[in-house]
Amino acid sequence: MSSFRDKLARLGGAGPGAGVTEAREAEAAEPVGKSARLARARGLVEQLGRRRMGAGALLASRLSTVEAPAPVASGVLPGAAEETPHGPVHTVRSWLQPADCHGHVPVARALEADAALLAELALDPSLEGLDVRRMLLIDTETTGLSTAAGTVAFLIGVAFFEDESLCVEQYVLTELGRERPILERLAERIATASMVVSYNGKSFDWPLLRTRFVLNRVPTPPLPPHLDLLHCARRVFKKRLERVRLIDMERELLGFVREHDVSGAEIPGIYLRFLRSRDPGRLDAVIEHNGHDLVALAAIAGELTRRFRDVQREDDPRDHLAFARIAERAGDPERARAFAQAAARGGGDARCTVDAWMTLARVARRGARSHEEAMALHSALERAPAEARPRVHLELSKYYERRARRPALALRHAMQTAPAEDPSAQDRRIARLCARLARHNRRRGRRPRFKR
Amino acid sequence: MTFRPQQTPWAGGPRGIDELIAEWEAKGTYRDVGLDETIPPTPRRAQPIPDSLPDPVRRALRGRGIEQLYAHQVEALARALRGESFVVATPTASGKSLCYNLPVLSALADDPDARALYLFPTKALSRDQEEAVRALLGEAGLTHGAITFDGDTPGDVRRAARERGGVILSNPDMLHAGILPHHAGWARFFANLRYVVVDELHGYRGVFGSHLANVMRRLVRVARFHGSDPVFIGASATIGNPAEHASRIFGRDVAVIDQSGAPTGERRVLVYNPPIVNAELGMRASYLKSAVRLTADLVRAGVTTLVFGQSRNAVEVMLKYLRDRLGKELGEGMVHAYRGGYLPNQRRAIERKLRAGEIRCVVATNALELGIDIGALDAVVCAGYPGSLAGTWQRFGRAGRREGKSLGLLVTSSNPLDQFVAREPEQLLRAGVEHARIDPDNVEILLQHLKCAAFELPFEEGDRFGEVPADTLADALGFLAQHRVVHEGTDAAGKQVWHWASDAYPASSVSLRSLSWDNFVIIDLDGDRTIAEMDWRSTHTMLHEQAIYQHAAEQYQVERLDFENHKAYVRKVAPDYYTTAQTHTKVTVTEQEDEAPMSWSVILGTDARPLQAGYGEVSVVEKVVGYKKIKFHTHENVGYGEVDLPEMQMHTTSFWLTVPEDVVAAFMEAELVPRATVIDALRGLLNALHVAGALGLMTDPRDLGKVLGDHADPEEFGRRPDEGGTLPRLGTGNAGGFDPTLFLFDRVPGGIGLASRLFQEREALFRRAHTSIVGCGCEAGCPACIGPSTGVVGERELGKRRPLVVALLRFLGSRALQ
Repeated sequence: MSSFRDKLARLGGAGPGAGVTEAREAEAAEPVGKSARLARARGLVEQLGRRRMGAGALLASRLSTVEAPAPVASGVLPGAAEETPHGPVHTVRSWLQPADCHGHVPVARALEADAALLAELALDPSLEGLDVRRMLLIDTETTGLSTAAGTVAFLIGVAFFEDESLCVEQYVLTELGRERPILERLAERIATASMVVSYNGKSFDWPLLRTRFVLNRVPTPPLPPHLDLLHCARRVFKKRLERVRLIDMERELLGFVREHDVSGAEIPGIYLRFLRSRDPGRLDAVIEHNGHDLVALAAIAGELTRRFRDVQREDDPRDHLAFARIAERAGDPERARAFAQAAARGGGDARCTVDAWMTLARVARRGARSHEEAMALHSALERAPAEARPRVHLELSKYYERRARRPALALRHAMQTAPAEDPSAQDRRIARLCARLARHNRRRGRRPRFKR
Repeated sequence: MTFRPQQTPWAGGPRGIDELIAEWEAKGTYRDVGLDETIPPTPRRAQPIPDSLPDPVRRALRGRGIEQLYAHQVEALARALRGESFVVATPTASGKSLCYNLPVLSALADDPDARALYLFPTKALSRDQEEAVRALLGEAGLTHGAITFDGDTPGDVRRAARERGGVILSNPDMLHAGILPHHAGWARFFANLRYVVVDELHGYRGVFGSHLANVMRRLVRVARFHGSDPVFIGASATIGNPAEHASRIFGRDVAVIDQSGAPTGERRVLVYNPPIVNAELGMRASYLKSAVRLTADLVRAGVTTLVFGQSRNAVEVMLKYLRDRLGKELGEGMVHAYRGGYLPNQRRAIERKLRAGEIRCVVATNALELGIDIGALDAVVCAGYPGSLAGTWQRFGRAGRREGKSLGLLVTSSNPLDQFVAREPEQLLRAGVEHARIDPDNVEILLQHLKCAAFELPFEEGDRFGEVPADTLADALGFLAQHRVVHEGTDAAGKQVWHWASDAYPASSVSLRSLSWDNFVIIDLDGDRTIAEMDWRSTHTMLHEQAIYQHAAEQYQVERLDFENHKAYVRKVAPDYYTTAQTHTKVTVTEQEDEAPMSWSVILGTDARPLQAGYGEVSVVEKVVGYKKIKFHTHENVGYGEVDLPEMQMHTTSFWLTVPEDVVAAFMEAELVPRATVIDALRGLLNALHVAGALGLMTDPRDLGKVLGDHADPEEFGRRPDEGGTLPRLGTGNAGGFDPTLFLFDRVPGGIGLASRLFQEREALFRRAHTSIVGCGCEAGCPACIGPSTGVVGERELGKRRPLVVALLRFLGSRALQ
């Protein structure tokens, strides 16, 4: 028989599941031309300018990129190996001063978010009463999209506040299999944090990191309450925006648009190429991308809570409506009422306005403010387009039957609830109201005026 | 009030199995019975419940009235407690599941953290066993859960399974793609894994079995990482090589327990071959109708009968016919269908009614074969040969479970495999001769699992992978590193390490049930939905443009085949024809592994000087060049079209037999026939060998390729020699000769050992083929013996194709005598 080597030699390729496609590989491998690199550097200067940088330099390595693009071209990995009790950790560290902005939002705004408000926004009571000054922002760059054993977080970025300044620490895995010291360092950071803040970390970053802890036999640190801003953003913006990725939030909330950002699809290829060639190539761009993500997390946390704290007149009425619903679900009727009123009167489209009045009616009902409920429902009916009216009629029918106890009015609305309720339910409602009306009229000694 | 079975209105007829068979003899039905054998009962061999069994488990058994265990169950428990891996290969209904449930329950009773993994080939079977294991756990007062973990398991149950499931019931596919890659989440499970149980082990043959063996290698690696070294237990039907097969699957020495202590009643086994109704075409009476007629006789004689059909369709047809026949006399409810999708309570209802006599006949597909307890039955009728002896006996085993007389009746269809069995029905009694074959080291299968394994845990210098030695493993990993799938580096101690280095999730692109990874999706242009997927290998012949693709009894025509993107676009049509592709296959021997004399004495009973047979590595190039349109029902050829698709090449192993050119010439002279006729006769012989080979190897005939290599035959290669067609040259001599060569090859890249096995058993192979050709009831050759004519044979010879093949066999033998 031919040897195993011969058989291997005969095989065309490694088969499926080989991953990083040649095309992407080529893209990653293509040397960035000098002009492109200069353009990138210029873009960076502009971006940094837009950030209204304070005295402190953001991400020192990036500034050096601007001043001297040449070292990057020759491929020097930013940062340096730092000795830790568990071994060397290649760390890129940078500081942002309190006044430093991401887009138009200063990163220190995250510190203004009080924990109670965050807990409400995240619909997570475990966040209540925590010290936001000790929040740990986490974002990872990985070799793949699964959270299974073969995906490695080759860049773990964390950010935390010291006084008012934000410290960004990024740990780079320079050789596969040397994750232990990084994970130990991360575990220390988590141990001193009051909460962890991430974007999609609940379904991606944390499960992935947990896998890494297990595979590297590092005890998985207990995770403090976890604020996943993706869930918050989705609740606020899903009706209005098509997508709620981190960069969409940057644009929407912070007015920040990235230029020359690496796309997520390129990232594994860039790292794997670095592993083979030891040439960092565009790894610096990945580090920058990760740094942006961390800073954006802080700014988004701050900005979302600012908007949720008090009604901001300039915000979109649909956002007000979303905030009203979050507050309603979180059991904060006062805030719900304020945002619902703002949404109802904000001049938004009919659908938003009707929903806002309906929300207001619900909040009023729970607060036993009967008059306010009636007003809200009638306002809703006034603005409702034909297809939305049955829903409002249904609520009005319930209102007049149960709260106002006026069966005749309840019945009038009940006649118009289809198709918001199915025909049999509607029939039962009408029958019940007819009977009640008959009793009502008997008591008043009158014949029913209304016959079906 | 106790329920009395309905009184039979035909009380005058025969009662019971023996009386009925006596009547069949009197009526002439018996003429077509090829085998009638009575297998004597075997006694019970029981032993007291051993002291080693923990009290809770003992209590659970007592609660069921079990005071003694069968000898093989006691042996299984003893081996398991000693930490030995083993396989139980005893007949159906011998209490195999207790052989693994007892050790597992013992472990759980002793250690609240202990875990076990059960693998079943189908979801239905694991759901069924889940119920059984839960009941046992409950009766033993154990709080460990038994949870089925498969594609249908909801998210919250999955979490519970990972964290708390004492017994996880799953299938190999789920273990491969859903559990092993996520083993970090299963850390507690793997750390405490004590037993791995694989049921229906005989079913994991060929490609599927080779995949499973590699999944087991990965499982062992992962378990070791988490600090456990589980005992492996297999359960198998009776096959020829249970210990060898289980050792290859589990990658370790495995003891075999094959002496059943369970009693069996007397069993009468009959093979009924429906009579020939058209001798010229070799057409037989419908086997479905025959099975229905015999079943109706049985049910009328008061024999509770289970009928197995080979397909859903066959089951529906038989159900309808049986109800038509028996409905008036018995009431339609007396005949019941039983399908795989039934829920446990529906099954229980059927079992109850059978016991109560409210159901007298059950018609089923193979759902029952897989260990589901339907209760006492008197007879099993198999309509069509289930494809293997093991499968047939598993079905027969459903009747007469403990004591009393039972009947196993096989009604053979006209398909070639069935007719082989009909011609040599005694074969049926030699159950346990079939071998299950796998090749875990098939390079393509191995590489795919190395990728999955590297994804799960990095490899280190000096590691082995099952039986794959360290240096071979290093070669394979080096190959993967070259293709940038893994990254080769060094660890802190300077040792070489290989890490997965890709953004892909390799398990998702490796299907255990086939070798090919490149499935084509079939898209219905009306409605724009995917209706099916197809293995890349079959695409060329089934999905070329203009092909009629048949799916769920509907016909679709392929309008466009997007080869690049692996998509076939089809549209529903209602044609009066179907298409068959014309494939040209060329086999070239690249390396001869062995060569041996082909002794014809096995056929002719002489001491003939033999021809040479051989086996080794070959390159097989297949190209689809066109297709034929075949009219439904009449099977006329109504058209032809061309196909332009790239060639497919694969390296595999083949068995071959060469007939030298001068022999062909001598035969032409002796029989006064043209060369094309001789080639046709050789092809007929090849067809018979192909079926005989598939039968002997217990393999799907589609996994075994066949080619008659001779470039002089335009039908086969489409090119004349001067146009570049080449002949597979073998050995030396016969300079310039065009030696027709019969190839039977593994249709799996790399081969899974079929060819070498054919070579080893070449004499039995030829004996079987010879018997089938000589013994066929047809005149001119039929699909059941030598297959259809290739069309190059003249009108005159067409009528005597079969005799000519017989003559050829004799001629080859006599020539070898000189």
